[in-house]
Amino acid sequence: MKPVLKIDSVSKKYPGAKSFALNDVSINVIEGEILALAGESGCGKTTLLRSIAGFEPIQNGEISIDNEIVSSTTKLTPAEKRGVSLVFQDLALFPHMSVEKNIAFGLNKLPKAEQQSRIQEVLELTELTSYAQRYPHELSGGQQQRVALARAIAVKPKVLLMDEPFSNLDELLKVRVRSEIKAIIKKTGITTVLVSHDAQDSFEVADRIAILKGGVLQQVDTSLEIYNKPVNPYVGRFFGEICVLNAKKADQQVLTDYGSIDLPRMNFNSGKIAFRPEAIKVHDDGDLMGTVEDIIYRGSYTEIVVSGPNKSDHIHVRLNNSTFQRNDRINFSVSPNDILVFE
Amino acid sequence: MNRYKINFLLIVLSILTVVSCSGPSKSGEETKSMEVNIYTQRHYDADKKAFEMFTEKTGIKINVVKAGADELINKLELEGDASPADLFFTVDAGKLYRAKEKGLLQKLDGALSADVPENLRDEDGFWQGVTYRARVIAYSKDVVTPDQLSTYEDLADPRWNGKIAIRSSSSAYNQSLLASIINATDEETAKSWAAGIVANMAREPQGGDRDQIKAMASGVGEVSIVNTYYVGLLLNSSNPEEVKAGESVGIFFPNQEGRGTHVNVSGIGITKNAPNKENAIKLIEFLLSEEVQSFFANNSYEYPANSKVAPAETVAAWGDFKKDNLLFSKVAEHNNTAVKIFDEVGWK
Amino acid sequence: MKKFNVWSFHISWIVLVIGIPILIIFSELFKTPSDTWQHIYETLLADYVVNTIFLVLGVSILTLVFGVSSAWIIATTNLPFKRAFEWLLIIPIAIPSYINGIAYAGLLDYAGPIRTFLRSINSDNYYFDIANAWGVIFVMSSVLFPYVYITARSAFINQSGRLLEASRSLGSSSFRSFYKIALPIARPAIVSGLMLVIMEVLNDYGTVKYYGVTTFTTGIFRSWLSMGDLQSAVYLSSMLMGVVFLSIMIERLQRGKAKYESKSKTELNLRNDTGLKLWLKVGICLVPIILGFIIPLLQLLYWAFFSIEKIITSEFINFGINSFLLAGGAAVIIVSISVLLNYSTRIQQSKFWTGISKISILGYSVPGAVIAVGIMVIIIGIDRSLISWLENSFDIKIKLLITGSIGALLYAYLVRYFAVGFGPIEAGFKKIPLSLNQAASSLGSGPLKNLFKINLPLLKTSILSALILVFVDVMKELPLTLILRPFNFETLATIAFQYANDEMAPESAPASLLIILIGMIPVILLNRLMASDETSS
Repeated sequence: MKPVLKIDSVSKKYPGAKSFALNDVSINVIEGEILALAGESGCGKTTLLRSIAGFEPIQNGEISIDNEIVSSTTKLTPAEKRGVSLVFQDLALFPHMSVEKNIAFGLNKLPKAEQQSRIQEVLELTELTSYAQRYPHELSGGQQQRVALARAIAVKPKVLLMDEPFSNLDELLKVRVRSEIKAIIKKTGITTVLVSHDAQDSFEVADRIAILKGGVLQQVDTSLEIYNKPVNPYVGRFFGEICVLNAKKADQQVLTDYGSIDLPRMNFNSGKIAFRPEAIKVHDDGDLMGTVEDIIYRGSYTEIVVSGPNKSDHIHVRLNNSTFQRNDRINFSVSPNDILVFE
Repeated sequence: MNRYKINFLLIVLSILTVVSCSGPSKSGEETKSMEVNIYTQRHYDADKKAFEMFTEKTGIKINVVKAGADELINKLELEGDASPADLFFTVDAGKLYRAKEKGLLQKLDGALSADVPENLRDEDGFWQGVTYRARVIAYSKDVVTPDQLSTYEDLADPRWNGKIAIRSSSSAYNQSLLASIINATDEETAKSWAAGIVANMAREPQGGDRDQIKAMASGVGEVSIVNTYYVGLLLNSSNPEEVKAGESVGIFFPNQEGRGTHVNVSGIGITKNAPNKENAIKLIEFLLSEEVQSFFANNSYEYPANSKVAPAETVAAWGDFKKDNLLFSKVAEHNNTAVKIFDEVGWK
Repeated sequence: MKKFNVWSFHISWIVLVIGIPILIIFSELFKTPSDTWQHIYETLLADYVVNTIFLVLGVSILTLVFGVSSAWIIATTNLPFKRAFEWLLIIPIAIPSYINGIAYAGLLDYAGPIRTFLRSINSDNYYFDIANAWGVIFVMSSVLFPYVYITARSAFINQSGRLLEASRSLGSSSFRSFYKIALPIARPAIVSGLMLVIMEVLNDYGTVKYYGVTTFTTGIFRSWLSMGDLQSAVYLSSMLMGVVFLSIMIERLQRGKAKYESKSKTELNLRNDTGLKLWLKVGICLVPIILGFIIPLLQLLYWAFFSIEKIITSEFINFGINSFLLAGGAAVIIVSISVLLNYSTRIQQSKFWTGISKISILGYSVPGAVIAVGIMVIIIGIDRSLISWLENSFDIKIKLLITGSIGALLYAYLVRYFAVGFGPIEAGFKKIPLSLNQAASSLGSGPLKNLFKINLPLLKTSILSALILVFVDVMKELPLTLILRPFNFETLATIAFQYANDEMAPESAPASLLIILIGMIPVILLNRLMASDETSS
């Protein structure tokens, strides 16, 4: 598969800033793929998106689209000449234009007839046909979202960019809009890069996820790989709960606050080990032991907060039924196969 | 309800404060008034100095409001018997006639000066001329000689085609000139004269009288109809280039063989309800005194109304002339007809 | 229509106080016109109307070109000496149109510097004619464009930068993004600036008279001054007012359902242009400054050189102080009342009361001398009833108290220039989301506290621009000052006029220069405040 978008060793520093907003980031996005850029706020994901769009110059490296360099140290192809369209976080719908006019906006270079058929096509695709003459402020949040998407895909961009596309929607709506939008994008086959701070968004919509921290790319992979094999606790923590414990190697075992675990294959001296809550098995003859600190009812399950003797590195254990009380002792074990080790 | 009251009170209070800080100076009714209030259309520095001379001599303070004559007439009308004004001073007899017709003036009686010829004042004695200006033909010395000129009427002749520079018909001076022609002849003749002038214009009417002279200096137009006063100002300008323009034209007094050259009178009248009538009379007498008349003549280049006083040197150099002695009431009577004729013949 | 409450009470008294003189003029529209009107209708009206439309169109186009292009560049680009550009683009409004007209005519006439110079190197006698409709369009536009510039700049700065980026990411060039997105969204603001320009064109008499161009206003003064028929003059004025009111309404209707406020407010990224593009932009901003400020300024200085010794006396300082205090006082009064009126209609949230409040801005559309007639009817009327009341009830004899007072003059400015202060304040209130007030109310803050704690701080920029505009406008005001001033009271404008009216342009130059100089002080100071406010928000 050929990469449509190539990000090659890109670095960027804002004027006056002390540290890099992007530091040597390289990612390839292949045709038809949906890539999510994820990370905590300030990690550089929006800067990367805006650099791809052509709104921010870069200081080092290259960005190319369809093998043509659009951003480099010396070159900054204007946004309008990149064949990239961006769906803004606040949607940026033109308030003085109807839905149809908004969609038609980027099509002005096409013949009239083609414009019309393209507009009809995206209106149908986004199920907005009956709202064509409405103004943005007359539509609901989900509808506005679809208008923004329709407007962006109408121009058949080489790359579609979306900045926090779901952040303005409430939880219920979000679930629906997410699957709608993924379906629409997949139907058109447009290569897409989206930015989201919400792991669930990325999980559901993206084919691959790139995680940034402090401007540095941490990992790019499918959701499954990232969930199961995060390269560091930061990445691991980003996609759901993870228990991280300080550990020391001793012979075939690692020592933690809660006891020791057999880890013959591992090859490290000291560092961190981590596992997902679902890897924990509670049973009376478990090797590991702690004290129940708190019990939180979460509806479908009960979460038990456990601490070790040093009262550090809390572990959250999920149980369907629990008879534990505060300050009870709790024994559990973790299968060595489920343990991740970080140096 | 309370808030309404407080709001209302605040408004009333603020209005009263603003007003009380700035009311006009009060003059006691009992004690002898030591001031006189004048509404004037004249904005000249010469007037200001003359008024200062008056205060110095008599100790009577002069309070002045300067504005357009018609605005002042409107103000006098609205103020009615409460008006503080004692005197109404204009640059054009027509406006005084208008004020008189609206009953805003009173007879001058004792204030009429014997030294001012009868044709420079209202026939019923409601106002008195102070200065006058002649509406003359100015010609470009380079291309026109005085012997080619004769009358206003002659300028309508096709031989002047494309050679006349003249200001707009909204000027009161052009209106009273046409009114004098209507009076001397009839409406039809006056209309064909106006049409003839329009046909002979070198350019669309624009600017004031001075601008006509400067246009001629630039070669636009060869003759113009202007007030002597403006030529005087130009010749005494602080800008040497303006003096040069003034020197490039000659002055010709038209209609000397017939009814005489048309003149405009700048005059003064006492208002109907003048609160300081005595002082007003004193001021009129002062303005017509030989001393002040000669001061006006030398500073504003107008002809003094007082026949005993000679005009300024610049003005005297143009020579003596015969004035059109038509009654000002007649001019005023024909004024609106004149304006209508101007509009009909397209004199802008 | 909502029930009558304290806010509708405020709207009512403000509109009554400001509107009565306007309504007195307006009521003439329903009376039977006189013979003079018949004459004007038959012989002149067509010509007047055609000329007026031509001037309005011409000045509108030129002020839009000057004002919008410079505002766009200032709002979006980093220029060298940007601070100076910002106020230099405002300062031309300190020059009265008729003074600009006289300056340009003087520059090009026989005794002017250009032709004096040409004569000195070449005996040929050139002749330039600027005194025609094109000339009027030029001289008026070059000093009126800042009205458009000010409103357009603040509209551009307050626009969401995201909208322009969205447009560009959809493949539009920056020019197309400008005229398809930025311009239409700024339209209401630009139109409010343009409305002031149009009203200035309609009420101008000095420039058109000097340049010999006959307009509708010429008709008004022809019937009054030449024919002594004030009633016809007022009738014509009321027609003018009707046309302005209609066009305001039509513009509002024409906006239709489209909204111009965008909820997102993200900053525009300033462009860093270089080379030819940068110098082109600098040039575009320089042209209106040169035409509307530098050239007239130089001509006035040239004149002042001849007359300064003769004209400048110790009294000049007093004239300057008079002008400054009057303009400052009027600015504060007008802006305060504008804030109260706009805040009242905002709380009232009723189309009826908003419509009523618009009556208050009509005083700007007719010539000052005519609005003075309506104002004098009120002032002198109150004065005379005060006299008779005091005399009958208390046997106290007084003279006219309000007439000829500074208070009367300030009231007249309020009636005439209310529109100038109202526009920026109205636009400023529109930018504040209603939810802010509602949030404050839900936190237990009353409407007055809301006004002072929430709205006024957010309105700072709008209040400052309203203050500048009113200040500068009152500085150059003439007809109202002439007729309503107290005895022996002069301002710089009356002094400048006194000489200009008597065809003594050089003598009028020092006062005109001082008007510009005093006008510059608040423009520079307030522009600095505005600039820091704009960048910080």
